[in-house]
Amino acid sequence: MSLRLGAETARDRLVGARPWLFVSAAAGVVAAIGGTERTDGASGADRALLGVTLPFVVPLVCDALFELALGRSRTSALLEPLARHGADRRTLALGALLTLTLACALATALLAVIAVGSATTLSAALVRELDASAWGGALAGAAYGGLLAVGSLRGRAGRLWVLAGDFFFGSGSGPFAVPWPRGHARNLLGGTPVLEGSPSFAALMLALLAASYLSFTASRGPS
Amino acid sequence: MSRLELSGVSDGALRLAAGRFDPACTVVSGDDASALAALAAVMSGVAPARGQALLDGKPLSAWPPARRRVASVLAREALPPAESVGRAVTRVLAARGDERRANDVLEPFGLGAWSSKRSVALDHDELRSVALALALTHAAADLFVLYEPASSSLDRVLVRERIAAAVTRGAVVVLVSANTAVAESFGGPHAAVVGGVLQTSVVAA
Repeated sequence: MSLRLGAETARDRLVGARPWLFVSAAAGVVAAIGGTERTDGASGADRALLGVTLPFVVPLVCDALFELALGRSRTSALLEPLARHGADRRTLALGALLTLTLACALATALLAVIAVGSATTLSAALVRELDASAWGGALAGAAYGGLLAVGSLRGRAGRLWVLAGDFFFGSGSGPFAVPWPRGHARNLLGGTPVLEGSPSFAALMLALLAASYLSFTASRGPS
Repeated sequence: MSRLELSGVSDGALRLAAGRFDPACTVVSGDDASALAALAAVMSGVAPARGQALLDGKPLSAWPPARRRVASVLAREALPPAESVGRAVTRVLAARGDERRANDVLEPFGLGAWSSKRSVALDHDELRSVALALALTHAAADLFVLYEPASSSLDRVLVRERIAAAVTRGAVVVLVSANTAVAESFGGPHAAVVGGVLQTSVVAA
């Protein structure tokens, strides 16, 4: 029951803030950048995806989704009106954060597809590229959702700190990049790998990061 | 017979609250609204900065089943985010394990018309009225913590009847009010928050 209540609360808060306006604006920016990079091969898609969309647009959009739902507050503040009446705080938080993470995954999948679709001329290989981009984008978005869930333990400031950490540490390819989504997302979508891992390793790490960040966050604080 | 205990509680303007509340209608008054508001919140299950509130030995802030037995109105009320007041009230009912519908709570107090209103359209006083309706219709509550129960727009006679009924069936009822005259009109044992410290020596257990 608490899981469903948490999920519904986050969904209603998010929907009430009209997130599609923000996601549509980001999609327009990505499409415009993709259009300027348009080529016959994959190089244009790589530049659109790895040059701007993944490093800048995706973290900002995911943060905006959390911002629309939580504002400057911690996740617990959104859920206290239900927790006070007997719902379990940890399960409520898990439901709410799963909803926000799903929103991040969907938005990132959409942005990745638009980046690749707008930067690549029509061909038989494009469908396969779009499919891979959608799945890779969804995993990257889920990992960013998990990371922002951790940051939300400290409200808006916490989210900004974890995004700064992702930007500085995740941009590398050594061991410091392992706990951050950026390097693994870059690897999965065709860029430099972290610890010379394969794309399968990157996909596994993104899924693990999303799951572990979410479970860590939901287990914090009193029930 | 239920019992509320405060153990070394402090939170913001509430410097220290310790003591025991037995089944009766106890009035807590004081001149520091912030301290009274913090006291009501802690008694309702909001986690204090220090100490804990225990209902029958279970910590309210960390034990959800204990919080389901609490009916409360805080100084600053908020409904959970939802598209309508009715939907928000239904969620509160679900959180406390109550299967009734929103109108079962709102209509007895003449608030049925608010059910379809948008939650964000309610002002502070209206939110408190909805919260008081939710609290006074909590059939399974063993603890009632009501901040300024006389200041809502609900029918005062009906509010008094519901509070009296809760006391009669053995619940712990704590009325928190900065208005001493109104608080005393409810009768019963009396406690006070003086200088941010809860003085329970006047509570007749």
